[in-house]
Amino acid sequence: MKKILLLVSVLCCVTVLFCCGCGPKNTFGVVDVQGKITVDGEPVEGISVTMAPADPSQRAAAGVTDAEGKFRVVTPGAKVPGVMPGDYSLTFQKEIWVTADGSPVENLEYDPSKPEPKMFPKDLLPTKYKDAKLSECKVTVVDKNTKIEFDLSSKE
Amino acid sequence: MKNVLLNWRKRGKTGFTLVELLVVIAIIGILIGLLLPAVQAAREAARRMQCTNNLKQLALSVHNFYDVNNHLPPIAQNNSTFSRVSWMIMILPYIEQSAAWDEYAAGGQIYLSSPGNPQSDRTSSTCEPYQAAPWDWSVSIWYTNFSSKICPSDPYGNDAAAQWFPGRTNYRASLGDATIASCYFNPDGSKSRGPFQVDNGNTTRKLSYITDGTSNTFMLAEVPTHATTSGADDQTFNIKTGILTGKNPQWASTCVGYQDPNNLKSFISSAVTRPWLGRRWCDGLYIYSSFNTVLPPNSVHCIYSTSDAERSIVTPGSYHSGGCNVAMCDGSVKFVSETIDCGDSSADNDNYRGKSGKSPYGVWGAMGTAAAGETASIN
Repeated sequence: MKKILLLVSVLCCVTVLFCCGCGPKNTFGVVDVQGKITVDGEPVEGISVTMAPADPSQRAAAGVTDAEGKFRVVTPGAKVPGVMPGDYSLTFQKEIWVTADGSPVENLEYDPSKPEPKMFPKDLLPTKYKDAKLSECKVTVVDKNTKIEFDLSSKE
Repeated sequence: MKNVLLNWRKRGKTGFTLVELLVVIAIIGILIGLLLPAVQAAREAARRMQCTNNLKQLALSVHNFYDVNNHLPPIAQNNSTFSRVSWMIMILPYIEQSAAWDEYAAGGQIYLSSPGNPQSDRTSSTCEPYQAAPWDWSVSIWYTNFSSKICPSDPYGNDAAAQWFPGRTNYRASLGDATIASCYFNPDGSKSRGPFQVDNGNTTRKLSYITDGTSNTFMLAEVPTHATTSGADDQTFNIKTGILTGKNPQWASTCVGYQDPNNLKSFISSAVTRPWLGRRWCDGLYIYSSFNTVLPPNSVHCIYSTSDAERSIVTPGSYHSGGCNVAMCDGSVKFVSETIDCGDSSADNDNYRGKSGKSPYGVWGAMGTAAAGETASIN
């Protein structure tokens, strides 16, 4: 009886190992950094933060700020959030929806049975924050304790 | 209890005790438990094989089209005979769908006036279809379904067509690594960096255009579909099936930032998304008929505005584990891993589209471009 019990428990362990062991994770060695972006000292929700790598063989990462101006970044193809350690230039966009004539859109409800009005994103931040090559916001990511904090100016 | 087996032998009695039965049942249960995942995996492997086969058939029919017409089918026709219909309509006669093609080519319900009207007869821009449009739900050909345009692994591929979502498909043609707007905003239509582009009369490409080598260049790939049922669960927020809207694909990585860090399979709740994937197989707009090799397989899709004709990133993907199937220009089909080198996705796409430089998007981008001077290959 003991032998049978032993056999059963061994089989159970094998099953558990079988189910948990698989499932490869593509992490690319990313570290889950946190950051905070303010504009003229105030936190702004919905700023799109892009981290362009200095070394083009590295992957870029991007995130979006929440109401407190905080963000975490995601790397394309990685199964866990974060960014690969290395040097980055940061670019920022804060977009709102406008109609073709430039007036802001309030209601974005989607009704598939009706033709949709044409709406476009409009960037509220100065254009200097758009180009990674011109960016003065640089950061070196070492590990997950690296803090990314920048105060942007709403003026050109 | 201790000597159950022993006693049984001694007494020479036939039959089993309850404990013996339970043990046997438990062992059988464990064995089935071990076997079931294997069976499921075998079923998925069979579906994947069928998906590969479908892709191969489509690639071969593109080649058959080429043999007859001496050019590749355009992603969208934009001449006076056929307006804005997709490459898949063009290859119908070569994939045993002659009936649908004949009905289409004969006009009938499609052409309110006779085919071949001069372009000046059209109602608006050169891209505007002046007759039955690919989104005209009253045209029955648009509802044509044949199995080789659906990947059997896609749980939503065979969804019964709801009223405004005719014609499902998983397979799309390559635009290379260029993110370009469809004909409305891109009248020259020539900025594709893949083997296909829009036909404005004489701008379709020949195989001789593919100087990177046909075995090193993507032709077709699979992209997941969105369920036809409007509002079905939160599919538009699933990065595989929803399209992030209002993000400029000029900087692809910006779109990736809208993945929820707490659940990478989903967009953040403030994202604006649309359910346009996998419908309108007949429509030549890029969001319905093509893909780009900008972001790695199974990553996000995004489009510039709420207009489906705008510039977009449609990323190949699938429900197969770990990547997606891709057909090369030589007709072979390969499986591309989602870990493929995709270079620097923060690169400014405007520096590349319509130009001849090497792709910034690594091996993935290099395989997408047809004539960028790269010889990168997979496998």
